[in-house]
Amino acid sequence: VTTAVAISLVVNGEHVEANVLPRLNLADFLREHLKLTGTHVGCEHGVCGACTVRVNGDIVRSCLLLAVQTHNATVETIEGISDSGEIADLQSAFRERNALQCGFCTPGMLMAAQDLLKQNSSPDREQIREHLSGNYCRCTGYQAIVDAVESTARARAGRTA
Amino acid sequence: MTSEPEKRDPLSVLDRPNSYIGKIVPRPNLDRLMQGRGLYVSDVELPRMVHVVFLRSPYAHAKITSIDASTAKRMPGVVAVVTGPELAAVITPWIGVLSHLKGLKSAPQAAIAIDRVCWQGEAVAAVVARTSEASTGQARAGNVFMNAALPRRPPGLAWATNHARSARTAAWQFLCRQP
Repeated sequence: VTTAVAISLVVNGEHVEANVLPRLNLADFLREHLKLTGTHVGCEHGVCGACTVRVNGDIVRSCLLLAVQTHNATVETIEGISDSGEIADLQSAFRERNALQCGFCTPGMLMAAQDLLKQNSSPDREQIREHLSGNYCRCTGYQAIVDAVESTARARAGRTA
Repeated sequence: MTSEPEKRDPLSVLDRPNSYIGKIVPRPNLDRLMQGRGLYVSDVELPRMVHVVFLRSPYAHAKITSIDASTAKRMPGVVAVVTGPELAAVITPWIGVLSHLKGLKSAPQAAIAIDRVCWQGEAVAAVVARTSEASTGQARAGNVFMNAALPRRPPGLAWATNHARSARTAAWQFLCRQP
C-alpha cells in the first residue's frame, strides 16, 4: 500500500503517465497531481456528486474510484467537456437562469445533466430531478437547474428536428 | 438662503427605469465557475502549506481520559499533533454574546475539547501534516481513550441509558476530514 504504482491514462484527450499510491482516489489525483481543480471534493463518500467525472463515457464519483483503477481508461473532467464546447449550450442555459450561486456543485451538475441529455433527448422534469438526485446544491436550489436542463433539452431537440 | 424646503423627488433610485428590480442581472463570474476554473479555498496552494485533519468525538457527552499521539507524531510528514490543552495556551476560548441582550453569554468554548466533549463531532485533536493524505493517515493512527458519560436520562427513554452504557470505556479511532 505504500509503493507507488505506474498508471497510464487519457485525461481530457491528453496522455498522462503517473506514479500514484494505491490509496489515492481519482478526485485527489485529478486535483493534486494534474491540478484540474474543477472537480470538487465535497463529502468524500459518494453522496454529494461534486466530484462527478466521466470515465470511459460513464459518469462516476471520482472520490469513490481509486486512481489506479483508471489505468488505461479515458477520463473527462469539467475542464475537458467545457473546453471542447460539448456543453456550451447547457452552460449558457445555466447562466441565463442563474442556476448557480457559489458554483461548487456546478461542475458535477453539468456532468450529470449532460449524461442525462445524451441518454434521453427529451426528459421530463421528473426524469431530470431523478438524474440529478445524486448531486447536492446547498445554495441555489434545484428549480433553476431543472429549468436550465429542460430548456437545453428542448433547444437540442429543436436543432436536430 | 430660502426657508422653503427643497422639493423632493417622490421616486427613489430603485424606481428609476434602470434599476435592478425585475431585471435579470448578469453575473460575470458565472462562466469561470461553470468551466471548473473557480478558485475555492480548497484549491489554494501556498508555499510550505500544511493540512489539518481533526479527530472528532463519536459521543455527545464523554470524558477524555487519555490521548496517545506518539505513533502519529512519529509518522512521516507529520508536523504536529495538537490537543485541546496545547491549543488553549495560544487561543482563548470563545464566548458567544448578544449585543441586543446584554449579559447573556455562552459558556466558554475551547477550539479543541479539553478533558471532556459536549457534543458529537467536537474536535478532540488536530493532526497537521505536509500532505492531506499524510494527515488523514496519521489521524487514523492516533488513539484516544474516552469514557462516555451517562447522559441525563429523560423520562421514559430507557434506551438512551442502555446505549450510553454499551458505549462506555470504548477506545475509538475516528476520522473526519475537514472539507
